[in-house]
Amino acid sequence: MTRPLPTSSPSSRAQLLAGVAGWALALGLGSGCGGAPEPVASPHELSAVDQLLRGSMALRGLRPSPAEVERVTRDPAAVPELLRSYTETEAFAEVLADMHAQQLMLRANGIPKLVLPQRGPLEGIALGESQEAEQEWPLQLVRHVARNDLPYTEVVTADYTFSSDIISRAYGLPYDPTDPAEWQQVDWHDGRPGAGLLSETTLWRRHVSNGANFNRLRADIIADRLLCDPIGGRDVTIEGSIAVSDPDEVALAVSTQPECIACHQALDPLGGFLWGFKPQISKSAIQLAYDHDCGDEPIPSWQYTGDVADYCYPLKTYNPEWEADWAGWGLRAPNYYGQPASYLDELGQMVADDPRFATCTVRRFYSWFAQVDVDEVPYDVVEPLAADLVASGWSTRELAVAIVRRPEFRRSDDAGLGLLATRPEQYARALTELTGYRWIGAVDAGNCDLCWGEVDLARSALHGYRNVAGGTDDDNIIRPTHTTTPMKWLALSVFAQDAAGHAVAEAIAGRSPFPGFDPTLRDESATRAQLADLHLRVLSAPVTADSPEVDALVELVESSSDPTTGWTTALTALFLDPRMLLH
Amino acid sequence: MTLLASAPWLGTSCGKGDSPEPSGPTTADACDGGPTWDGYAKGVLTTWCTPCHARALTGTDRQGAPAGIELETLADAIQWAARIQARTVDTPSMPPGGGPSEEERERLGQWLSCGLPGTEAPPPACDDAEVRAGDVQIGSSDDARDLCASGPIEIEGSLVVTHAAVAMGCVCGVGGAIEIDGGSLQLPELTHAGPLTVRGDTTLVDLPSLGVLRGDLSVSSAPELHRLALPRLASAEGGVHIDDAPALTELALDRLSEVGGPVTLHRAGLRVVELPRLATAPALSFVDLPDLERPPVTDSLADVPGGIVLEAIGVPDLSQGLDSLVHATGDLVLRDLPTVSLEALRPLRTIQGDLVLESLPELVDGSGLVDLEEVRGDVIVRGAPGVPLSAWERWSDGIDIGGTLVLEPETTP
Repeated sequence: MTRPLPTSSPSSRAQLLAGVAGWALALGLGSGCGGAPEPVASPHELSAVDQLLRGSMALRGLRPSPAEVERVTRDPAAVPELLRSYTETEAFAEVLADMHAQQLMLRANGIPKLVLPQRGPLEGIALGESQEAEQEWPLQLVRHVARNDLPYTEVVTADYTFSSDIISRAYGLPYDPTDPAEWQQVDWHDGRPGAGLLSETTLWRRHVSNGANFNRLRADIIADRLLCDPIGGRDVTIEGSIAVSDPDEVALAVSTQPECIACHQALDPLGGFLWGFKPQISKSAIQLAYDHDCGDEPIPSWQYTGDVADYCYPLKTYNPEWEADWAGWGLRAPNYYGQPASYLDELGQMVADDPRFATCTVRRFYSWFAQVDVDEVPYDVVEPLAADLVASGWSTRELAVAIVRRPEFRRSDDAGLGLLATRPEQYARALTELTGYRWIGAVDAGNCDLCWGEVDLARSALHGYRNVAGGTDDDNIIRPTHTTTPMKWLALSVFAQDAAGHAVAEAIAGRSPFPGFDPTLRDESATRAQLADLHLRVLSAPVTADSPEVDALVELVESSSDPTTGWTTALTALFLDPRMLLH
Repeated sequence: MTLLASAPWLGTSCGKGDSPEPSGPTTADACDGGPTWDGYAKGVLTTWCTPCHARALTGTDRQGAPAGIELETLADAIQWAARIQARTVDTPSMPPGGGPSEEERERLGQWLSCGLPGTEAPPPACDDAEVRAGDVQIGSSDDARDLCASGPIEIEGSLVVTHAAVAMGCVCGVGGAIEIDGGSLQLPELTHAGPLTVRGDTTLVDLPSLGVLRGDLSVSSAPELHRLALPRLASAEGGVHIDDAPALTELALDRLSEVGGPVTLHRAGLRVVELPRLATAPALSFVDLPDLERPPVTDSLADVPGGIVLEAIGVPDLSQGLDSLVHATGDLVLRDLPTVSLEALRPLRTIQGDLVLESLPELVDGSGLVDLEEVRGDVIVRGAPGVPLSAWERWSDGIDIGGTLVLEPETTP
């Protein structure tokens, strides 16, 4: 694997980081997130600027602009309006996409069987590119809902999907190459009923079924992730022993043994809605199909169902003809917790109408923003927010703002939420917005048969550092880490240094990402003024040019005779300030 | 709709008379802001109870839940409150296998103790539909308003709509026929009806909940009709006939899986016809559909005893759409098509009627028929000059033909 060339040698990188550590220690920042000294409304309430900063990071993953900080400093009452405006931005749509990706475990970069082989119409498409297209496919609906402030129920009722060039090649959906939009709203083309995310191929390619599982795992995803009813995690004691590898014994138990019935009476009929989907389509099935010339004969593997041709692009993932196949196995007919129905779109509407969908939506949003487990969100938080969500017409914007305006979000003491960790996606978004730098790596060595292409190192959990930087890999690590671990620090240190180096280089070349930033100016007053501006822009904390913070930064700038290195060190220090890693 | 008043045991305080023993806080303060039906209790009962205690479940599907004990609505919960308290809160024995956490049970007990607070949306209007005897004629929006003035209805006779653009949310079912002659009709709650006939200057028919049609679906001489949406129609006891609807571009029959009569789509402006769940039909005929972009049937189709006719449809390449048709029990007629291949027919092995291939001027690849083994009727090939006669002769040599063989690919029929 290769990485992009660092902006300094390892030894200079170490020196630089030593300087950065000195910055943090000099300011006493290692133990907390104090923010700038400002008047506060009460001893326990965050300052208006810190409320804005926390809300901005939660809702957008971006730092407030100096103008916004200045406005709120003058008028603390402007915070709610600014927060609402943040939910109207593309960054908010990206945050919701991140949230759904994690909660539905969609960005599982490291599961080999999910790769789309470079065969047929995907020849020449880098594996990383096709993987990203497939993973982001269902998230287009989430972005669409956020951008247009559509009722959130749309995520389980939409009768459309989105298509891109790659998705069209791989799955046969229409795509207009003359339309400049990368993702285009289209109808399903294979007879599947539209039920938002429930109809999305990616979701059911990620969460598979097998011969004897009968879509139960998939049903559990619906119950757990959309209704907060983790059927698979219920605390049930099973009497005696059941050989779970024996399909006949399992089939008998789930219909006769009370402790099994308790779950399977809901789980199995829920899985009954999903029989139209292929149990699984893995990389090896696609390769096998192409090796057999995509013929009409049954695929020669016990793991897969259907014909060889089903597994050649465009992949055949759904067929209305299979919808009633549950009957052939003597299983329970589809129903939704006792309410009969047959089709996916009916299931989607039932989910939308279920009050648990409202309460679970609140739990999931709150869990994401407040960084607590879904089942730890208190009832007295959930129920009023759920009522407000429904009353607002299921507006995700209203819900998100309501959450970040709650008292515990605005508290600075232990009765509040404490410090919130900056997720790797947030950190990447913030650094890119500040500097224009994207942390991209190249992982292919020369000519390759299975080229992966470029990798977004902050967001990839396979070739990048999403999981070590506190995120998930949506496979083995499914809960984020909200503390600053040595690995997170190490990964983000490299990212911060590279971003700082990029920003300084751009500024020297006359393309400064920061207004007025010119590292070639050598007089101290100009240096101090620039450092004060950078402090405000990066940390949202105004300081004067003669403040101790600027004194410490000047020391870093002057720690090297080379101004590029000095300014890179100072910027890196700001990017690694605890106020960037925590908020 | 608040149902508290219908809970006689509740009175003004908890724990009296027939009411359950309180298990949680019962003071007004404790109940204020506490669990409600929609915010909490309905979800708990749905999670743990309705998979067995639901009206739609009968017999063994109830897994032993006594008939008549349902826990789906707030009214149900009020009726069975004492039992819920006893069996899920006081001495947990339900659900039989356990499952709810202690906190969940306590909170349910709190809800019961506080008087089952909450409200419930009214049941679907059609649950209380009144039967309207006789036929109904609608000629104006005033007629429609009058019809719906008294709430949801089930029309016992026929519904005739003439030159009126009406949407009637009150009509839940029609026992007789629906006839539409001009105007437009939207019946969002209609679930069942007799035959449906559309003609004249009708522009739009939207029946999104219709599941069963006890007769034919018939559209004839309807030059203005552009949308015919029956997306939930699963069964038509008669056939589906559309003839002379040149403006019809939107036809939704996604759920149609059973038809009692032929499906004939003639002379319509359709670009797409999707019948993804139709596995069998007495006959299929798609004629003069010049704008059709894709083959009109899908690979669910397995048996068509009355034969299949594809004639003068615009599909440029018949490469898919009949993928599961292995044994055609009637005739197969492909006539006047611009297709270049017959790849969609590759699975076909036997035809019990005739095989007619006529006026296929663009056809250059007939290999889709290479695995055909038997045609019990005639085989007629005319007007397919792109494939040489010698190739047709070699092909026909391998087929067991019961009737007459006519190979005249150069002849225009």
